[in-house]
Order: sequence, then structure tokens, then C-alpha cells
Amino acid sequence: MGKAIKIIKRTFFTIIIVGLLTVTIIGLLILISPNPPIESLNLAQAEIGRAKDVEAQKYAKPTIEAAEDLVAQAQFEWKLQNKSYAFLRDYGKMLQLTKAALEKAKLATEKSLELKSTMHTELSVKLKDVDEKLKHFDENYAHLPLKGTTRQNFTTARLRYVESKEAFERGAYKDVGFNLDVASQLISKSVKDAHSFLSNYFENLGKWRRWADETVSWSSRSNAPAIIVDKFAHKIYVYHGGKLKKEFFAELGTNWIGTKQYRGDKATPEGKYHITKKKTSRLTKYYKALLINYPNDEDKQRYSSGVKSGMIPKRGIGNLIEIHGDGGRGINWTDGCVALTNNDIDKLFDYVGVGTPVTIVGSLRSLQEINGH
Amino acid sequence: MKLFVELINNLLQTKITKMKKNLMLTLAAFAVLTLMFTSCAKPPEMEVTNAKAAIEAAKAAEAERYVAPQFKAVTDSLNVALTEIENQNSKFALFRSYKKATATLANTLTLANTVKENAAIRKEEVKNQAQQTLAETTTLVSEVKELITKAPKGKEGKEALEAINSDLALVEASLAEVSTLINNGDYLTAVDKVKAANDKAASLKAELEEAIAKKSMRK
Repeated sequence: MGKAIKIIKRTFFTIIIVGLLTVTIIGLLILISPNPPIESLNLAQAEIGRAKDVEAQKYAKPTIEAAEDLVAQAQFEWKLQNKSYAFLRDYGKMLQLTKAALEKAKLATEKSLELKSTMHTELSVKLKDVDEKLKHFDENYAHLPLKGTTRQNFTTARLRYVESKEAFERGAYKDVGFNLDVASQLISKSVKDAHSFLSNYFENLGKWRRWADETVSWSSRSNAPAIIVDKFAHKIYVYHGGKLKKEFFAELGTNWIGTKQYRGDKATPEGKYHITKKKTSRLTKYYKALLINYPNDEDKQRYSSGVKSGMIPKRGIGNLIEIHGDGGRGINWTDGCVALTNNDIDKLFDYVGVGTPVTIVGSLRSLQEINGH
Repeated sequence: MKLFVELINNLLQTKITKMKKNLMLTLAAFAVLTLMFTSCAKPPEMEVTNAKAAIEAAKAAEAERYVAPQFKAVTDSLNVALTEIENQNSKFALFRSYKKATATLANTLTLANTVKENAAIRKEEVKNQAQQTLAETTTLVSEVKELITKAPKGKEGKEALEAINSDLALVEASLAEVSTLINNGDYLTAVDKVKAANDKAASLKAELEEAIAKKSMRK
């Protein structure tokens, strides 16, 4: 019995001694073993997280991928070192890799923020530019009798613009660029086409302005009313004593771009005319009307030479051009007359008389003035 | 003398036996310690595999696109767990504990599953939005077509109606593209496109209603 106790005691003490020895050895090994650069790794990973927060995967893809690759390498190196004895481990390479990853991640954050900011600024400017072009086209050219493709381009540009704006508002800048570029190209093309369409039209601007000046001067000299119709602006200006007294919105012939040349061309003439007859509702189907002396001598001469040269069909020059009521339809719908709302024709009808000059011009403003530059 | 030799032999025999016993005891102590070392914690490999699989599933559900911040939180959580595992691997086997890593991985797994569900919900929401706006726009297009039949015709509106018809054709082409995008699962782009088409269809409707209203006012 005593022998057994002795053996147990001896065993216990041996275990204690060996245990203490082992713990001491382990303690010493721990003391001399290097620690892995966890803090550095965490910093790199946190920075990668920050870079991803600012969408570096989209805006600085190669840099963030390089940072992630460096972290993966660092982790692999860590695993490799963990396979060796603790006191033989060397985390130098891992530390280098984590530091490099941190730098790359910082760079990715910077690049992403910079690119996002640049893209935001550039796209904002571009969106504003396209928006202005669309508005400008809408205000100045959309009502013109343009070619089908010009209007189609304008509509497609508007669709693409709205799509781009939606993508921009949800921060998907990468999705904005392509559609916005298409919108910009199409609206620029529409504006160019409209310009080209109008370039011939505006060749007579000097003459129109001279006619307008002469009409205003006549009004001033005679202290009498005179009417100027600006086709492009769709406006009727009424002068008295050389001063602008009234202004009305007017609707014109369907093909109002260009002067009237022959019967049925649905164009509104350009020239210096005067009122030849005031028609009350009994004499016109358009509420009230002011008949003018179209065709004048210049119109007749143009028609004759046009027919001779084969440029104009021999359909007759047309007549019965009036300023009349029944307008306010929102479109150019007449056969060449100038239409006002019934309220407006009432006012005009009372203000003018037979003999009042009616000067119809293509435009009083140049194309550059209309475009704002 | 013989007796003395026998005594010495006996003593030596006893010593050797004692030494043998001591050696045995030492070995036993090492065996106990070795057992202690070898029976320590194992890395949660299964949990890592499960968490990674759950993240992949969330990725497949386009969580990166539809719930990006949530998806990032999950991947961050996995990174924390993996770092913790490797940190524990760096320690002496006796001192290793994977409890924290296991808990983080369990949390990652739950989070990944939630993110996957949230991505699916968000995707469904965007899909519904795209489909709803598509349906609204299709109705608008039908209304525009109906209004075209009532709009002023003849010399009054022929040209304008031609232009509206041309615009309407573009809207319809855009709606066809939206349907393709929805079928391809690109709902965010579909929403952008259908909103643009809706905007245009609404403006065409307003234009026609105005023209019709003006026409009826004149009567």
C-alpha cells in the first residue's frame, strides 16, 4: 500500500516537473517567436473596405484588384509561415505585402473618388449641355416642318437623355456615358440638320429687316397702324406711330418655311402687302378676316420666272391670303393664311383698316440670335 | 566477499529497476502532455466552407448589384473570421481557440443568407417597378393611339399626327428593348429605359389632349 502511494507521488511530481519544464520551454519559445503583423493586415483589409465603399471595383478596378491580390499573397505567406516552428517563423514578407496592399488600397480609394468626382462633374456638365440643346431644339426647331429623320433623332436623343439622367441619379455613372454620348450626337445632328434646313431660309434676313424698318418708318411718318408678321417667331406685331402697340401669337401654313410660290403649296407668303378688304363673319368662314393683296408684283414675277425655268409647277400663283380667326390650334394648319385666335382677331380687326401695310417676313432675328450665340 | 557482491548486485538491480520506473513515468508524463497538445482545438473548416458557399450564393443572387453595402458587410465578416483563424493557427496548439472565429463564421453564414434574401427581394422590387412602369407605358401608348383617332385631321393636323406617329414608333421600339432587358434580368437598366419611354408617351398624350381640347373649344 505504502509502495503504491510512493509510486503515485513520484508519478505526480514527475508530471509536475516535466509539465513545468515544458511550460517553461513553451514560454521561452513564445517569447522568442515573432508575432504575425495582424494589425497591418487588418489595416489593409479595412482600407480595401473603404475603397469598395467608394466603388473602387467600378472606378479603380485594376488598383483594387492589385490590393486584394497583395492581401491574398500576405495571407498565403502567413499560412506558409504557420507551417514552420513558431520560433523559426519570419513575417517580414507578410508585413511587406500587407503594407503594399494598404498603399494600393489607399490609391484605389483616391483614384475611385477622383474618377467618380470627375465623372460626376463631367456628366453633370454634359447632361446640362444635352438638356439645353434639347430645350433649345424644342423651343426653336421642333415646330418647324423638318425632315422625318431630324425629328426622329431629336426624339431618340430625348429618350436617351432621360435614360441617362435616371442612371445618373442612381449613381450609375458608368451606365450614363454611352447613352448620353448617343443623345448628344443625335441632338447635335438634329440641330445641324435644322440649321442646314434653315440656312437658305435666312439668306433673306437683310431684306426682311429692311422691309420691317420701312414698315415701322411708314407707321411713324403716317402716324398710322402697320402690321409686321414674323413667321419664324409666329408673331404678329402691330405698330402705331412707329411704336409697338400690340403683339399676337399666329399660326401659319403647313409649309410655312419659305415663301409662297404657287397655289396649294401651303406656304405663307413673304413680302410687303396691305389690307384690301375687312371681312366680317358673314363674309368668311374663319370668324373675321383681313384680306391682303397677295400676289404682289414681286410674287407675280417670281412665279413667272419659276414656271419658265421649270422650278415651279404651272398651278397658278394662288390668292385669298388673309389674316383671319379660328386660330389657337397649336399647330400650323392653314393653306398659307395667318390665323389668330378669335379674341386676337377681334382686337386687330378693330385696330386696322383697309390700306394698313402688312409686311410678312421670314424672321426678324438671325439664326445666330435665335441660337443664343 | 560473495555476500558483499550479491548486496551490490541487489542494490544495482534495485537502482536499475527504479531508473526504469522513472523513465516510464517521464514517458507517461510526456504522453499525457502530448495527448493534451494533440487533443486541442481544430480550425472550423466546415464553417468556412459553408460561409463561403453562402456568400457565393448571395453573389449569384446579384447581391453586389442590388444590396451592395450589405454584401460588403458579409465579405468583411468572412475576412475577419479568416484572419482570426489564421491568427489562432499562429499560436501554440495548446492555446488555440477557434470559438471567436466559429461565432463570426456562424454570423457570416446567417448574414449571407439574409443578404441573399434581401437581394432577391430588392431585385423583385426593381423587377416589379420595371414591369409596372412597362404596363403603364403600354397603356399610355394605347391611349395615345386612341387619341390619334380623335385628333384633328386633314390639313389641320396631318403633319403633326405624322410626327406623333413617328415618335410613338420610337417609344414602342424602346418598350420592346425594355421587355428584352426584363427577360434578361437587367432590371435596373430596364427601369431607366422604361421611365424615359413613359415620359415621352405622357408628353405625346398631353400634346394630343391639348390639340383635341383646342379643337372642341372651337366648335
